[in-house]
Amino acid sequence: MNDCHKESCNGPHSALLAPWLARLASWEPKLPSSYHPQVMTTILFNAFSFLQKKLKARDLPCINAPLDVAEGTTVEDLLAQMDLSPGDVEAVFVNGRVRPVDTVLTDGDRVALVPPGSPGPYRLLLGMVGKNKN
Amino acid sequence: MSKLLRINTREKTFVFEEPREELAGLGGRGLTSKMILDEVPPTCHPLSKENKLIIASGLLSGTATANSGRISVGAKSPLTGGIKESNSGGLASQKLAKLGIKAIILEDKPEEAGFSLLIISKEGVEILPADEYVGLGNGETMKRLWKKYGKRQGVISIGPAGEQRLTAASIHFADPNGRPGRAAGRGGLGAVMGSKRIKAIVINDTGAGRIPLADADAFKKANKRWAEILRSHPVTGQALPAYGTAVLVNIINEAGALPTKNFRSGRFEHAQAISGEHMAELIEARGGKTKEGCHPGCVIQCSNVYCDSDGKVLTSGFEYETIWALGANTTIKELDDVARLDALCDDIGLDTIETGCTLAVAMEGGLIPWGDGKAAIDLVGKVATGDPVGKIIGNGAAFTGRAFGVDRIPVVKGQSLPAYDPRSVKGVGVTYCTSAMGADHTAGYAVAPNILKVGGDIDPLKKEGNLDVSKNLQVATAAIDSTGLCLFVAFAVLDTEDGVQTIVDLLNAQYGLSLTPDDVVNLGISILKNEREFNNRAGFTKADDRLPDFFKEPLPPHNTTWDFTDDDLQQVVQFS
Repeated sequence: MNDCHKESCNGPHSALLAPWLARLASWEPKLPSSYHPQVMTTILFNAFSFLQKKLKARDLPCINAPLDVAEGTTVEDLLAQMDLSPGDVEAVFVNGRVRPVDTVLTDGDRVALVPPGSPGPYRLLLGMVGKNKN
Repeated sequence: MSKLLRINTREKTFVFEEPREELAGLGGRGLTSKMILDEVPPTCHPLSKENKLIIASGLLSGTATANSGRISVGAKSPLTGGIKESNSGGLASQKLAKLGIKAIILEDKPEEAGFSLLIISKEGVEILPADEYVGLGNGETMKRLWKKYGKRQGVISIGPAGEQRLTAASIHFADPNGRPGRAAGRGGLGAVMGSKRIKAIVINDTGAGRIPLADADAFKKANKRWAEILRSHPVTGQALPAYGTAVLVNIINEAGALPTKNFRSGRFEHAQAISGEHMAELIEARGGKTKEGCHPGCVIQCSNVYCDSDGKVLTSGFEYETIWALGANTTIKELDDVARLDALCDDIGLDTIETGCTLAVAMEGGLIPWGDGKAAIDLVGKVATGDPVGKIIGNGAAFTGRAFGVDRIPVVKGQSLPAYDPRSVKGVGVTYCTSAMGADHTAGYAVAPNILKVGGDIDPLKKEGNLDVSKNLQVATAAIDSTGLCLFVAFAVLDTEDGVQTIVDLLNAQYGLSLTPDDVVNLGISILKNEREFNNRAGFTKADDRLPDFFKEPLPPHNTTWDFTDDDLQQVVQFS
């Protein structure tokens, strides 16, 4: 299959297509100068333990919930937007890793908030302890 | 001075004995492991008369110390062939301590069929025929014993699995409601109790006096501080009472470490359905209790009572490990089915972690379909009837894997792995490999700031730092397991400057000692050395400190692999 494909690329057709392909590669859309896109970042949001109860009481979806945030939003911004204080959250998972609060969220990120109170040495073993000091 | 109670199960005789000097300062796991090293031939068959079952209360048990009602059960394990300490809550530890009994030692082995019942009270010991209880589950056994001997007695019993001497058999301890939701689950110690033909032990502390305290004022002061430490911490004061240990389901799933479908993935798509948050909602809607202590004087209250949709009690002590083993690992997503399986395990007397891994291996082998809760309930039920398939299941994951030709068997030293995939939480994987107990999460549970010389920022997906953290956790855990304190106190001790010192103050005030935190560390180290020594003499080598090879496969979602060498791991078991 690969060989066949390779052959056709080097064949007579490719010579005809080449200028078109080159133009396609350098194509830039010409948009009106008034166009300012509101770029959104969509994350998959979860909150656990007491936070689940707290956010549910405020009608904020927090179980596998798709959530749109503005581009450049950090974890800290997200907490502020949800009116959560630093004491409400011990650790924030971004894509399954405990990350600092200044982490910038990108499209498709999976984000989960964990309040203080995770039992076991897992607070330590998962790197929650001391991650967000100060 | 507390005494040792030796019971000869063949002659049906007993003797109270002053502990020799080197045992006098030991309790709980420190005592069971030292006595097994000294008294049990390491090469013996675990079900032979040479093995001993040692049930020891902790050093602080029986006093007013909050959360000091844990008990240690030790023997040579029929599951691993190595030393075992299995730890439980329930009523027994405090009552034994109040009766002035440091440990019960079941020795020798009857030649004839038939089981006995032990009644231990201030008056002495009775060894009675247990015919009327033979074949009963732990629930009915405890119910009848409370009816006959009075409510709130300490009861230690085995179910049909222990009677059949199956290697996944657990030993159960009556909780404050007389339910068998508390167990010395791991390592098949129920089979050892079955081999001694003891169906149950009733511990009646009526008329027992208070435990003598060398310095009552200092004790009172330290105990007040101790209760404050536990109550003011977010884990022990709030999260555990609200959600139980099952609060971990979502967190460990998020970390990509919730072993799913026999350790194929670190995430279970139905984690929310079996989560602690969902469980708490169901308990609130259906009746039941989100919080309950496993012994009097517990201020953490991590246990619970879970009901079905008609409000009928399904199970109690419904824990994270159990929910994972019987849920995510088998891909059973109906929490009620998981609860029914837990209740069956408690009644038949089976370790829930071992049984969950066994069910997954049985599913792997095509015996029942993946995720089929009803089929799993039928299968586990067969263990009680003596059905040959039940005997296979009741012997655990490694045995079942052989029976059904499966090559994916998650065990270390023959014991099933608990609820954290070692590829995503490498520190706990190091503990699975290097603990003398076989794959065991509680072997490296405790954390104390002055013991833990590593920083807080551990990367769970990398090797760095995880050998040290596992070693320190294992030392601290061994020490805590000697005190009778619940391991969950460690969460609060981690975050409290004077946490360890307060435990030391309690011990000093009770026994008139002048221990320091360093002595506690040294106690932990000496326990680990004793346990290792027993296993060495039994024939274990560094080749036994390995995970199965399939853990070299990448685990989604992080796609990390198990990459520790034998030599890496041996650093953990070296003590200068």
